[in-house]
Amino acid sequence: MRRLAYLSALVLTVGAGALLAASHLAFEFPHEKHAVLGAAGCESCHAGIYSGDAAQNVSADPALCAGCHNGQMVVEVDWEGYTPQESGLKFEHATHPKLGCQTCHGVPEAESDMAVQAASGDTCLACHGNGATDHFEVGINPCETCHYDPGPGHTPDFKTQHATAAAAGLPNCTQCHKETFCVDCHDGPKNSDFQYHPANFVTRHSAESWAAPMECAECHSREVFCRDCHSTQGVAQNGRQNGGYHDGVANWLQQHGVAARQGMESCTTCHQQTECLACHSAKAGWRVNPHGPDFDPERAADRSTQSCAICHTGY
Amino acid sequence: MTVHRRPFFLLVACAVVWLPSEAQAQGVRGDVRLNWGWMQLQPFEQDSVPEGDVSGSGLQRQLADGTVVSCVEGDFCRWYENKGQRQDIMPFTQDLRFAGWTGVQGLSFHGQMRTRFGSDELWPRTDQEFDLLTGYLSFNRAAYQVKAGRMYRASGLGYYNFDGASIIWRGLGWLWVDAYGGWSLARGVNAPRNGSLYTESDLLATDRRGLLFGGELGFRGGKVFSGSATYQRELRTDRLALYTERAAVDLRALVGGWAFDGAASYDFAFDNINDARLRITTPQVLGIRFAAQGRHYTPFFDYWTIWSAFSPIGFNEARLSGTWTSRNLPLLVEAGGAYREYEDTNAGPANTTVKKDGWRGFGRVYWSPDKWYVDARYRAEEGFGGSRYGGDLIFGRYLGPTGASYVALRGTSTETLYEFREGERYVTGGAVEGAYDIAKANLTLDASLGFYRIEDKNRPLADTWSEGRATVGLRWRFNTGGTR
Repeated sequence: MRRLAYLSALVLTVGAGALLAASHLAFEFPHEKHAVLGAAGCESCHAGIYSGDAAQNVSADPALCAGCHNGQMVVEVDWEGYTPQESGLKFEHATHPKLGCQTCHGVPEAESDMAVQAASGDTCLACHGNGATDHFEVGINPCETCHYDPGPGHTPDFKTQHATAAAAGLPNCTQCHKETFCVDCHDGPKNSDFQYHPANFVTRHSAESWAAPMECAECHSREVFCRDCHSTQGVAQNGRQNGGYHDGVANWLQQHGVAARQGMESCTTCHQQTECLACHSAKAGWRVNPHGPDFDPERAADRSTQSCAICHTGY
Repeated sequence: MTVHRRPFFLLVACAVVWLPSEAQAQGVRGDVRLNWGWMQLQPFEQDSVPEGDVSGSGLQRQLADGTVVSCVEGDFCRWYENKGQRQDIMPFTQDLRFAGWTGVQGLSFHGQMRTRFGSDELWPRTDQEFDLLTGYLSFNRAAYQVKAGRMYRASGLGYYNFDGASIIWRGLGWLWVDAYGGWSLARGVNAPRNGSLYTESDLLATDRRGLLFGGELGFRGGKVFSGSATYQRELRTDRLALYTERAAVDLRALVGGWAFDGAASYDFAFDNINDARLRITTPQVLGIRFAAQGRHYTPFFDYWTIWSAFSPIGFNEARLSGTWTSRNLPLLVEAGGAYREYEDTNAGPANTTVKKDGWRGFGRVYWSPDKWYVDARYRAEEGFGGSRYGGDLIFGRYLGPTGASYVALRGTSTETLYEFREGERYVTGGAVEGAYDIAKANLTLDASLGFYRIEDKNRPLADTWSEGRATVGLRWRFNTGGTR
């Protein structure tokens, strides 16, 4: 039931966003349908665009529409104008007057000057790219060179919070980033350009590994990476520890079950399976049942009788 | 897996640098990275005395000097200590990455390989001297893409690496279908589960490789709505059991500056939702943007282990963060926090002292007048297994127009509390760090050198000591003229 609630909330929230999105799109102005206005030049509607980026400059005054859409020449419309969105770009039209509108907004190979579109980052790079040929050429242009806030949803914490956006495919990551850009962090060499963890993370990582703000195992094998270092540093010795390491908690043996179920991932970065089986196997030892009340043995056995056979006979 | 292939790496590097002219005409682009590090660590050792030599009774007692020890009656009392010995660790890695275009439209080859040297016994995986991360051929057309070789697969289930093939069909534009399969590689390792990396670290490591199969269905509604559903399973090559069986759903909507993200991943064997998130990001207004997130997290473990059968429980977390990017000042301010509560463990005594919740708070101020910058960061992380409080203050200067060259001083102070261990640790120190980009030579050099004073309290036998750390890196980019 709880799982159904999670999925329902997920679908409803994002679905509502999609409906809002569809209604938002309806306000885009159809420039190509107004090709006849093109002869008068862009400034005939976007007056003052070269002097500043105020709303009245970027968006045409709706009152201009009534010049034709008066019910006599053409049907009336109730268009209220376009509310400019914050682009997040460090761009001002006033500082680019010599380029001309078509240089950035023109649709390539279109016949009409009124076939326009939003400017792309590659256009900026033609002058500002320091030789870069791709938008987001790694290591050449920090995002902040052009962007106050690079891209929709690319908040400063996007580095750690982008999983859903990447998996859902919006924005289309590969339009800006090469595959190697992902690997730089996910399995990349340690490099100051792409340093994921803060400096000296080795001495700081304990608290975060317990708290799991991210899934460490996404990049680091618990058995190979974590346990390897913990073993050589003496944090994880071979064999049972008799509680010697966990001396910060009184009666550790009685309380370790709570800690283990809350932080199983951290346990496995030191302890091998055989250490737990000394008490928690049905074949030998103390035969303490480790399964929680929601454990479904048949469901698990359907997928892997091999793991059941580690502790139980008859599989 | 210990593979001695240093000569192989050097040969490949040379081959790329001096490619035949025909290949150069088609284009190869990539980079070579060298990274050397030095750090010092102070390892623990276990010590013990006969139980009869320690006064008192019970599991936990104290030695005469105050050291807390754990005793087993009739056996020994044990504790961990460090008598001042240090270890110097110097890992060195080399990475070669490249992408090449063959001259046949849409056909390209891609590779990334890594070598590791030094401190074989002291730093994870330095004994795995050669590592092929990716190496595949790609045939990419407007409606489809076929890849074959060693490749990563990124989805709502995370990053998986495998040896095999994949085909993506996107003929309708708004819909894509991705099918993939091959021999699986353990996550984060780039090696089979039955390889020596695993058998040396776990006595119950599996003895069979895995086969991975999966598929993804995705759709995109213009620039505003998209989603994908992924199903993936891994099974033993003898087909007697599964290693994993998972599914994920990811959805995103962008609405006039608002972003709605929803995601969930599911484990079929243990009927767990592993990671479910709902995140709403507001538009940027006056430079201010907020993000709110609800998350449920239960860890996932491969089925060859017993860990999921031990019924690990999850937590529910609320997270709120905000950023302000000044339009008038070169200033960025970021702050946020999160609070989580764990589900009922159904284990242990009712009066357990292990905490059932945790929180974190973080903040950052970045100010960059002209070429100078100050970056102050603080983070507090409090949880049931360990806590820490501390941050960094960085004062630096950019040396070029892009920010790729800089020099900086970093100061650090961190307090770490080990809830499951006696004692606290205070780390205070500083480092000088920098990078220099030589654009004409496509070369970037970076280096850092720091020293940290480490003070342990309430661990009577630990000394206060100073730890040294240094890194040196070099990145050389090459591009023989190809395009994407």
